Amino acid sequence: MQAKLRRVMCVEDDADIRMILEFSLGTVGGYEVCMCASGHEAVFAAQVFKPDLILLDVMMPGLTGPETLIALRKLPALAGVPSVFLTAKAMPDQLEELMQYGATGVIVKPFDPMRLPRDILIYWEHGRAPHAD
Amino acid sequence: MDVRPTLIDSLPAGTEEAFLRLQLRFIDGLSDRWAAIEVAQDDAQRQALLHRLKGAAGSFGFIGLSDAAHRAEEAAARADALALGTALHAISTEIDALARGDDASPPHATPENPPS
Repeated sequence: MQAKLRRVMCVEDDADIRMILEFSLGTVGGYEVCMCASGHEAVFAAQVFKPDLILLDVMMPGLTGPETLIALRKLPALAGVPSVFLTAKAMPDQLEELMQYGATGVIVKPFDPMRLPRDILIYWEHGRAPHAD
Repeated sequence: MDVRPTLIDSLPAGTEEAFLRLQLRFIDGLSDRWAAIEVAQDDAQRQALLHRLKGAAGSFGFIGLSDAAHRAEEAAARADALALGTALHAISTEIDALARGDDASPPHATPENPPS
């Protein structure tokens, strides 16, 4: 089992959010980051990039975040990769619904770019050891 | 203009300038976001644009703009024209202030910055 979170794939259609994600996770967090502007792009790029964790926006044109996650889960190499949704909808029932797609966690927008690298690390540690309590 | 008070202070050394550049790029794009909100074809489209603005503005540290977009999104969702108009005006004021580089609204109340 890999001991360190290194490669993070972000799927986000908003160019400004992609920009701040790259700053947060790449510059601040020091992760290797792959940015995708759509779910379709992510399905292709993920097979080459082989992410350790996937961060997905929920509301996107084309494939939504949940639809993208379902498509990624069908790829054998990505079936067990921890995934985290990024959403500006923060109602408890909305968050619970997202978790039912098999995500490791949900991060609510707006997010703190200084804190995000730590938050995804926690989700990654939790998500790669689903049977550990 | 309501900017998250501690954001710049908490940036790792050497990244402040890069972050400020990103903030300026975001501010440059606000007029396009506002124009799209103004010409939205229906309530659903306007709501989606406000939703995106809320998430983006807050993540760049512009809490006042994010809060105004949140109020507008909620007003649009419940078809409250009066509240929507008020919130849209607040968004416009925040965007104008950011473009000018001055303050439109008092600082956000935080434990370090309690309301007077």
